[in-house]
Amino acid sequence: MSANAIRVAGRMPEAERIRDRDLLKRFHAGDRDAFTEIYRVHHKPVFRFTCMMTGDGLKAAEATQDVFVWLIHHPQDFDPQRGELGAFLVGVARKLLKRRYTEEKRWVPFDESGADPASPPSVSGQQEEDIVRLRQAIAALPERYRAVVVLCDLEEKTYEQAALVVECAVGTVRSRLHRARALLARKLAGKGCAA
Amino acid sequence: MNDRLARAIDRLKAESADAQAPAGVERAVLAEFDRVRRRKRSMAWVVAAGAVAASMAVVFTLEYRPQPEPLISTAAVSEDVRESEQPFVPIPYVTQLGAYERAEIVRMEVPVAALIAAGLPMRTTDPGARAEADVVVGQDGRARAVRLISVSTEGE
Repeated sequence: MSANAIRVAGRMPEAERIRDRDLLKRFHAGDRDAFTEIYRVHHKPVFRFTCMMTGDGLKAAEATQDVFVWLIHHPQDFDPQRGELGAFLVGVARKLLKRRYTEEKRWVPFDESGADPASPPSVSGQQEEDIVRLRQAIAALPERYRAVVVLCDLEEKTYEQAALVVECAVGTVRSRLHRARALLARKLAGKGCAA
Repeated sequence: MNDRLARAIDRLKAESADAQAPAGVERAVLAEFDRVRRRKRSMAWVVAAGAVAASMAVVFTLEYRPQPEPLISTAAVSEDVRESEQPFVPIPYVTQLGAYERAEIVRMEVPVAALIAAGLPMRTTDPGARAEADVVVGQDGRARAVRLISVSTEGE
């Protein structure tokens, strides 16, 4: 998918909004096919977000599953007046991940010498190396910076959409993004950074 | 954003554009959907069955509850009235006679409607019926109790 295509997807057309409302209405009525359609339409952005946030495909899959299971149990919690379903689900994913981080912080691993969960497959070349570093740098960012980088730079969400997901002001999203990019640039250049 | 970072972000974006959750996730999510839907359906049945049972219980209670027998049955009285078997019935909401108070028993004819109005349970189909009754009258002239002797309808 080209960057432009992603950019267009970031600003949801009216047709998709209407489709989502129709699907939600049928889903509320217990229509399995409607729920399946909701999953198929929206699971990719949720999975990409969780993947970038965790740096781990397995954890991302679990988080994606949690998001849609949560939706099954809380079908009335989404208010179409307040935003788009896709952004709402990403927001749910973020909250579930935050809860998981908090729970994981309570446990200290016995051995940290295992594979780095953010480690990608082996690559070669300067550009591939940059991607590896970028993945690691994103994974190392504090959550508040990581979320805006993933949403704005990787998912091509607008500042307003990102603000809805992370539940803060648009200005805060801008400043966090600016700070996050600076940190990533330093990491990419091989310099240390203090978040 | 510097060029190197922008290029890396673009490449990372392109790499992850087609990423999607494993098929097992969809199966697990749909299985959960089915489980919840089954539970909701069974809950709906339970609620419906409960509602039906409750309404049947209400109908049964209303239909088959024991009817309070009237203290005085005009039908019985008109057929066979024996004074010794008819007790005095206290008139409701009237102060009872004191132990020291004198009372008189006065036989009189009263409209059945007045007895009903006084709160005595009477069963009669004739609103104009009249009854012969012994009435206990206190010192203050108030009626305290009634003993029914006979009931006559207007036709009689």
